[in-house]
Amino acid sequence: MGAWEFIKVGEVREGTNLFIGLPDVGLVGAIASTFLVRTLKLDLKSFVDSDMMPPIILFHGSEPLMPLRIYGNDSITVLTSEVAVPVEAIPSLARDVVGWARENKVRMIVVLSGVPTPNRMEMERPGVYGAAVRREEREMLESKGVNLLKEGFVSGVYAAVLKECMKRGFPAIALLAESYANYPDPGAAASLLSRFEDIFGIKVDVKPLLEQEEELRLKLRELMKRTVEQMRRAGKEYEYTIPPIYA
Amino acid sequence: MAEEWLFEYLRRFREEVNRVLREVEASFRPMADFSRGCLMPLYEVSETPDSVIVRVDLPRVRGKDDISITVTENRLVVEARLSSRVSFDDIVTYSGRAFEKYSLELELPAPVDAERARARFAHQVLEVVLPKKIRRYQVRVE
Repeated sequence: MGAWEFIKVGEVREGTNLFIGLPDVGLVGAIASTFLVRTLKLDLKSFVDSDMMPPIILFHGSEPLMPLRIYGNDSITVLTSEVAVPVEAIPSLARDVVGWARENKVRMIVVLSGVPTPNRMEMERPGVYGAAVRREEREMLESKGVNLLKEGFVSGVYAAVLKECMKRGFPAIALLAESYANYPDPGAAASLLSRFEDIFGIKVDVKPLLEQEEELRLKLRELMKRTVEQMRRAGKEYEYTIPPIYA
Repeated sequence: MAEEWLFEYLRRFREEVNRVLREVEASFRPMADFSRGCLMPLYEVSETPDSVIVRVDLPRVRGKDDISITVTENRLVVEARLSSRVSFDDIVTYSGRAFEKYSLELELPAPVDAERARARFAHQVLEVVLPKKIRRYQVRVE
């Protein structure tokens, strides 16, 4: 492996999809992945660490945890983080996570995140878009009624993961909910998770997430602020840029 | 006349640099004022040619009657009452403190006409639109 250590705590089931939800736009991915871990009562499988991560450890129920962790059960594996990944660490993290996925015979990588939407304030229920690096997965998404991202730039940690999967021909999709850019958006995370049964056959009850929406928005202010600082350095402004190939 | 314009431009440039530096310093402080029992909300400031737009995320605020907005030419102050007291007793840095409201004080990036400001509150997001005070000069083409 490269710059990242995967500190094994339990066995990962081969052939599952790896869902990656890290702090990014609207904290959508981080909220969705944490909710999956809690709701499906997933077991801790690995810590993920590097010298490029800030020197942080957290305590939960008095137990020490590293911020970046992999959880799983027999049908699903999830990578989640409690801190924003520093922008300079993103390329190597993407590389090593895809390498780990290949070694552990992950079936497909699914990145969960938000796409910043200026009129999110007007939306009761944000829409969900998909993107895939291979045609097979694009066709799969379309057959499930997911609108594909047709034009535009994407940036940040999930873009780095998709890029790495593109280079290696590894199956990967991104599910992106319309969201606030700079406010925690549990509503957008709920929109994403409500598509899981259609697409992956995993039923997720999002009602508790929607009930906790305001509380999560209040509690996650600091994490959102730290994430926005990293997003500014990760080329997020490109998501508002029209590519020359389209112009 | 040309010199006045230049001095005004430099003054506004210096003010903007200072404002950004204060924001950078603020990024190292917690988002709470412990002595006043206030939380600092997340916010965004954007500009159009005619307006400054400030959006503030106010989860757990019931409605517009719980929000107070004060505007001057260069400053916006938003205070909003939480629907119930909030505490984070399991987190050592917050333990023993309860918070009852949000408080946000911002320097605006351009002078605004406070009397023409408008605000709306939807899905726990407050949007304040502040028309800029624009001095227009007619320029004759020689």
